Amino acid sequence: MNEKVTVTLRKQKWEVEPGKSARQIIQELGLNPENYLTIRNGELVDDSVRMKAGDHLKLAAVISGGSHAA
Amino acid sequence: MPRKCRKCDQPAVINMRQHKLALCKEHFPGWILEQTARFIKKYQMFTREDRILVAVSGGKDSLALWDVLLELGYKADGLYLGLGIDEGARYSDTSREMVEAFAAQRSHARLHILDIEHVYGEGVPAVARRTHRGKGKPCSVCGLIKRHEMNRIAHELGYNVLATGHNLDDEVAVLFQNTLNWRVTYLARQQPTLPEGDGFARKVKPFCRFYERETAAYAIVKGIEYIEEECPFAVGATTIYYKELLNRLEADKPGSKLHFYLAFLRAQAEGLFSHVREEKVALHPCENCGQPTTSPGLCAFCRLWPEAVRSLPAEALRPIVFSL
Repeated sequence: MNEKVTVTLRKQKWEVEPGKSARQIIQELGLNPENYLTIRNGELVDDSVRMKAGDHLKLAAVISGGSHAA
Repeated sequence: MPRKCRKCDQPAVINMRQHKLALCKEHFPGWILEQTARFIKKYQMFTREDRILVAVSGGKDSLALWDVLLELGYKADGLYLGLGIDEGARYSDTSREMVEAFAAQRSHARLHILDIEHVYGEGVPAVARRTHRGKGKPCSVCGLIKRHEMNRIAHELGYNVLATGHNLDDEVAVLFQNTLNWRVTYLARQQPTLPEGDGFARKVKPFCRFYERETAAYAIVKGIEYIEEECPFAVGATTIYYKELLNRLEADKPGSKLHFYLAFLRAQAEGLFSHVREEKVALHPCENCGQPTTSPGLCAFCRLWPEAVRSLPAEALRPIVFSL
């Protein structure tokens, strides 16, 4: 079992230590928590949730370019 | 400790710091419905008697909006415009698949589809290259084509209301840009509801007070699949830059974006731009399509196309109705 937390954002991937909240992880990656939703193992979670070893944290970017009728 | 829902003891899925409100996956969708219903009433957007056409792109905002309006029991049909954007990413094809999948799962959802490339012979990027409008970026051509076709189709199919999924982040980014440049004529007409008249359908933005993260969260919680990739032409767009900038402010001062927008609407209602509104621009019908325009002769949309395309028969311009 992976003892790290896997974090993905589109095609980017990181491995971080467990025990931190999703918000802390986002901040430590140099990102702004306002720009992302946090999905742990396929479920939307509030960013106060702490990640455990083996968790997959997907960061879903929420900013779009304002195109509302592609 | 992870945050709990304000209404029950379940874990929250979203914390809306500007409202000091955290909600779980059971209570959050209901809150979105209640708030949308409140905004529709407050800004006099439409009633149950109106026929609403929702502009759907395959993105989170428009699909979430269509879902919410259907959940609230409104007569709301979808309009998808295929813009022919590929750029190696199948952007338009993927977005159309998302919209069709959404409609296919809802038997009461009626979806109209118009493929610009199929009907007019060229997609947005090709038109932008040929006409040199927008200086290499097709966003200006794209906006022009969408506005014209949405209004034309709404009128021809008998819809009196056009609803778009613009959220508060969209509105605040535009507001910020127009304030920086002090474009008072644009500021005067930035409203949640633009009344119909002079050949234009009523335009409404029922999500104008939701943060972008809330519309995305609604789509995720409701299991609505949407296109996550950005339009390839939006990369580096000024709007995105402003949104990131404003989110930095929001991270430090929660509620800043909402306050900026609501204070603007209040100032507008109190008459800050009333002198601008009085200067009514003269409109007349385009000599080709009949849509309202300020320019003499042809409207900006009709000027994009060669004569042979402009004279296409009306039946060639009708959208198709999606069916399984």
